[in-house]
Amino acid sequence: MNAPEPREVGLFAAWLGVLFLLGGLALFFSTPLRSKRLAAEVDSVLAEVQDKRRLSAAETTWGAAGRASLGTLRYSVQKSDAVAVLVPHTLHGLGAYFLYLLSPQGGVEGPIPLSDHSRRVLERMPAGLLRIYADRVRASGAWLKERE
Amino acid sequence: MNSDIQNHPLWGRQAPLSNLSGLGFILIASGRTAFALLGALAAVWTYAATVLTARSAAAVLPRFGRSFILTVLSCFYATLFHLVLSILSPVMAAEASLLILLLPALFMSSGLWRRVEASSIDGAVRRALAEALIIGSIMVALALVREPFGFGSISVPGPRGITELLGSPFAADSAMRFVASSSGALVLLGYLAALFRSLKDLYVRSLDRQEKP
Repeated sequence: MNAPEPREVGLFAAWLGVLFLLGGLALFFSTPLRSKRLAAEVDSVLAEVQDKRRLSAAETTWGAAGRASLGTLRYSVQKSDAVAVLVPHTLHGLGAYFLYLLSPQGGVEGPIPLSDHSRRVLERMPAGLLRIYADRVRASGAWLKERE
Repeated sequence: MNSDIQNHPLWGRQAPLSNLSGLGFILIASGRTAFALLGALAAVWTYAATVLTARSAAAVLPRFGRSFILTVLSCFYATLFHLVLSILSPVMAAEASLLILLLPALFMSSGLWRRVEASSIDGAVRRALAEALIIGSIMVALALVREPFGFGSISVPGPRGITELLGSPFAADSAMRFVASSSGALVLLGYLAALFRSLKDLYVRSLDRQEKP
């Protein structure tokens, strides 16, 4: 097997460099807007269920997300010490996002469905599975607190 | 030797395992019509944009690591789609994350690039669009069976996530939940594949009859 020519290797590195750079810039600059849009969406869900709490800012807690579930997002709540946790649930291959509100004492409120789809998935979720998800949210909060 | 491998029942291009490469994407996307429509749109965008970029820049596309570059390129376009979606409909984007994540794998396993490598830019993009639309149509067709039976409704992607149309509590209660699950989708897909094969056989036989004097 022949070794690749230096030009080929250079082009390969250039392609990867440009693509990773453009992708990274797009992710970096769109993050504040995406985070704000998601918070606004969750606020409208809270308003629908007559909850007066509103999300304030996304929390970056490296490693904590994985403790609750892959793809979990955390937000601080305005005028409150509670944390809003958005957790994806999976049932028979169907995924849906739910909102949990985690109090500083470790109490968990939720799951609050975020769309028509998550409402339908929630109807089918066994109580035991829901308890596991709530426990994972509680555990992630406790783990974060311990780390602080 | 190479053609022997390509025609081999286990390793060949027509082998059952090769044909299953897009199954995960189809199963997830056909769970609800909204996912299927979104998956079809994402597939059309990713296939067409990847092939257009790679074909236009063919002169500077190295042979060394080409598959890896194409994988990263398709990931880049799938990510762009997800970014735009997460601004337009954040909940929908969150719910469809896994689906969009699987798109580059679907693109690479389809082997589309090998088929369009030598074509003109126009022909390559047209072929990419056709293949993405075929996958999209299969997903939508399957979703139109799974969702009414499995959820008792039809859904579309909306600014606030999946929005249900034509649904009712009675229909949801009497729905056959098995059809909405992944195992139900596999069973349905099996029947669909059997139907496709028998229709294809009928078509081939009718062509043979026309050819014979």
